[in-house]
Amino acid sequence: MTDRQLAAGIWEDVWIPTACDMCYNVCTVRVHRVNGVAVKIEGIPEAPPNYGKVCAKGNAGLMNLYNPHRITSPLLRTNSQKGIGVDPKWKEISWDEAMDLLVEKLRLARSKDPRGLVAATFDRCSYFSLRAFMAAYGSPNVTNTSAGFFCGNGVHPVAYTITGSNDVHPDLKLCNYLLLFGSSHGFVAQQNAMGLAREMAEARIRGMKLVVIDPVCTYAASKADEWIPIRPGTDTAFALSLMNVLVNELGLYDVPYLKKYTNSTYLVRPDGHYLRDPKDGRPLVWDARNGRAGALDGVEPTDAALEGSFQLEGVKAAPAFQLFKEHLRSYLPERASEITTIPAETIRRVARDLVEAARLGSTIHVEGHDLPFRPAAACWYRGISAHKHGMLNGMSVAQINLLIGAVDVPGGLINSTAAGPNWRPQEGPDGLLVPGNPFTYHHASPIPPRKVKQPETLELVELFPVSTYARTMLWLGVLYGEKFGLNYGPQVFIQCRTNMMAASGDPEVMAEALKRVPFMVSFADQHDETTEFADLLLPDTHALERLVPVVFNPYVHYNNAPLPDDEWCFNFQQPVVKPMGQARYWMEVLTEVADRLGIIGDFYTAFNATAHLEDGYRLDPSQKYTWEDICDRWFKSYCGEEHGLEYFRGHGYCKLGKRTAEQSYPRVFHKGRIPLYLEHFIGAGEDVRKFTQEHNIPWDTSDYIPLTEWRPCPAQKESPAEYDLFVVNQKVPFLTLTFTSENPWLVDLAHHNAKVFPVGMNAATGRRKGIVAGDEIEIETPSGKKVRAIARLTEGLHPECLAVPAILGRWVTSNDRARGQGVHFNSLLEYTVDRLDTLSAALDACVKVRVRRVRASGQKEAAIAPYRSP
Amino acid sequence: MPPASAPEKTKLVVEVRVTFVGLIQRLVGRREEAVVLPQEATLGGLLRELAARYGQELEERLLENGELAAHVTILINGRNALTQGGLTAKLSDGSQSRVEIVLLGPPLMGG
Repeated sequence: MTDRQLAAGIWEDVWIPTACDMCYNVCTVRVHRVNGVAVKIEGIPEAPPNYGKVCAKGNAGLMNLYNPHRITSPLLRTNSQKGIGVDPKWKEISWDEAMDLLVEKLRLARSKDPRGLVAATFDRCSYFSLRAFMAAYGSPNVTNTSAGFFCGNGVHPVAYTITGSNDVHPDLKLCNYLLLFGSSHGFVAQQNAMGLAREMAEARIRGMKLVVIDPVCTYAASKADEWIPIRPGTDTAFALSLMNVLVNELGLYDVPYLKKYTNSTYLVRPDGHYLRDPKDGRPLVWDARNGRAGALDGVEPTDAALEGSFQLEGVKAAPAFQLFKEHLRSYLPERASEITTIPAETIRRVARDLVEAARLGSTIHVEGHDLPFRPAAACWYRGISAHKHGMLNGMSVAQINLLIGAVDVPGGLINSTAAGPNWRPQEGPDGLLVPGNPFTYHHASPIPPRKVKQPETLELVELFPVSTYARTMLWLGVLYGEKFGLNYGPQVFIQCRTNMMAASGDPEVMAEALKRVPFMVSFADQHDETTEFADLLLPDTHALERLVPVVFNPYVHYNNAPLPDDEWCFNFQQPVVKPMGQARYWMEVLTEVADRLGIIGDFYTAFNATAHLEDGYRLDPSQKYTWEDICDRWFKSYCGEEHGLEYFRGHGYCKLGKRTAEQSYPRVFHKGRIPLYLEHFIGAGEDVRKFTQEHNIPWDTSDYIPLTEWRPCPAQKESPAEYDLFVVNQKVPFLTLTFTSENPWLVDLAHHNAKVFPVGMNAATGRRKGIVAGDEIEIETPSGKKVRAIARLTEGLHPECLAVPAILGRWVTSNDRARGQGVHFNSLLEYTVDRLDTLSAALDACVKVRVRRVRASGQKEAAIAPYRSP
Repeated sequence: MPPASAPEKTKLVVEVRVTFVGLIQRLVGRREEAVVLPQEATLGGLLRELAARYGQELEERLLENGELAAHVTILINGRNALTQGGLTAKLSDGSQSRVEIVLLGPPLMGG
């Protein structure tokens, strides 16, 4: 310390490297601590994945740390009644009492049936340890949220299908033309928020053209070259029509790519299945050079026919692409225009611009390899995935990239979550692509489809053979499990850092499900809508108070979307300040619980399995370890003996080399083909249909089709005419993901932004309905759900829509300026099985409403009643 | 799957100590099991032997489409079996082997 500082009473002035936790992107940061108090958070310029950038949420993290309303001691519910707005009547108890109670409940539940334990968290840093705890306990019911609302559930199965990885994103370093469908990619409200914001900004400066297709002029659309407003739930019609223009009008598509890297040449029989070699069952292709059918591996891709119709021993067969091409003809731009409201000439123009930008036939030299160069891509996210037909929607946009040969090549749409250097996509059954992760192989991959069987999990994932998970079903499984043959129900629910009451489907349904759980323990640092249902509430640490290594793990778990040439990196969270009150890191608590349950040895073994610890660093089931011991071994196993806990305490992160060309652009380096034609859906659908019919389970299998098509959501088909507007939800970057309503800085920011709390309405629509800005309106769904809001009129919204931003209208928060402000979008949703995409388990967010004015702008009245008020 | 043939006394054998972690414990009714197999035995051979002892349900839990099921992680002497050849992985070069069969829940991923 300098004399001047000491004279000023400053006895400590240090910067501590750690990682942010204000959302799941866990950016690397450093925290300024003065006299034991954290006073500033900022980025570290050279540290991935955010390279020095910190968003508004990250900057505001200190406000959560020092929130005077934090939970600081264990609390026991004394009110046996539970429900929305029901006071739990908390009673403070000691940690000893709390642990005794928790262990007793868990021991009892385990003796009855270990599957009765359910755990949910969105604490990304604790995924490995929670999964190990649940494995040791013996329950498969572990999930990271409850309804997949951030991605919409339909994103990842499509990403796996086309790249073998968990996610996809545009190659912002080389892409010159990008279509974004219902996505905020690169605009902070999505993965790798700050890293990709930087990349997007650089791409835009470089000249990349950005076109956003979205009902709302979102943050992404407002910064784009062009915003194309679209009627909600019709993106597939747009995508298919665009492809129709490419294939049937312009005749411009990447023939070599389709022949070599997709199943476009596979011969298809009239029943939709592949024509197979009777000797080995492998799909056949038509050898155009020799005029005969040939084995998939025996015909040069350049010789395989993409088009035509052939007779083979009395069976008529055609290449998959021929069927695809004919299928597209029904999506004329004029027809698509009626469906989407996008002018036909716009569809044709976008198709032309896209394929011109794709530079078909060009190559680029990367690290000694000549690779296809396709600097154009179409990318999608929750906006088109959270629909009844979400997976078909995602597949349709993905296919645009296949047609222009842009998947996993420079400039195009590339895998973003490659599970690290060990991951290598490869050839699986029928020559199709499967994930090549040596640690997890096809874990959660939708291809090849999983065998349908009697559900054992509460999320009923066994009925979703082409999904990556089915967590949307979890609470419906809790409510209606017996209808699906489940012979057990939930006994204990562990919840931490996931507020499913606010962030999932209809809270009324969620509340009924939570009330079915006999004992619920929440780990939390603040009260929220979900902890209101807990029987035991335990004080959790803030991210700046805890030790958690390997925040993102490139080896076996997904990474923060590293772009080509980005660095593989580990970072961690370490205590910057002492925990407030009696707060404890929840996984340390569960580790102690495992010890008291007598399953600590199994926890260690399961931890070795989930974290893939290397020789010399594995946990010995016969030993006991402190949490710091575990962390030290974990670091060293991944980063080398010299990079243990002490190294991380000083440095905060560890880089492990750059992503190579083969890792970034794997398409040409492996044989696994991408299915343009979804033949595997037919068998999967037959499998589901057979099982559900045999067990008398009503189940929609109509989306298991090999050629994607546009299908209207139930809201579009079934809503009476007077429900003439769609409600759409859009992400707000500084209110996206967790920990927002408690934070005074973020809520203050929201109050200063005219677009956050009011509901947006197109200005022309407002005039037609006699509604002006500032009017109070009532929004009602066909099922009678109602909310009230203040209208905001805007040109930045499709005329048939109302825009409801973020997850607002919160009803349990200590922040008076957040409570009841804005509209809680999820309260308008129907959370029922028939509103789920039975392929991906996405919950349909398509809702139609009618609107009436209940109070004119400026008319004095008491403050608007929030939709829910305790 | 047919049970693996019993090792002949004159052949070298490997004693495999199997640990069951997770829900599978409930199925087999124990945490540990000792299995003696020919020294050249593979993981596939071990699983066949366990299936013979504990029935088809165990096999269905562990295998899918002829491979290790997605939610199963098997460690052979601490190392993930998938990195050593999966079902063809050899259990040991010596006379003893430690195999840990862990049934995991679904991966936590996505949003």
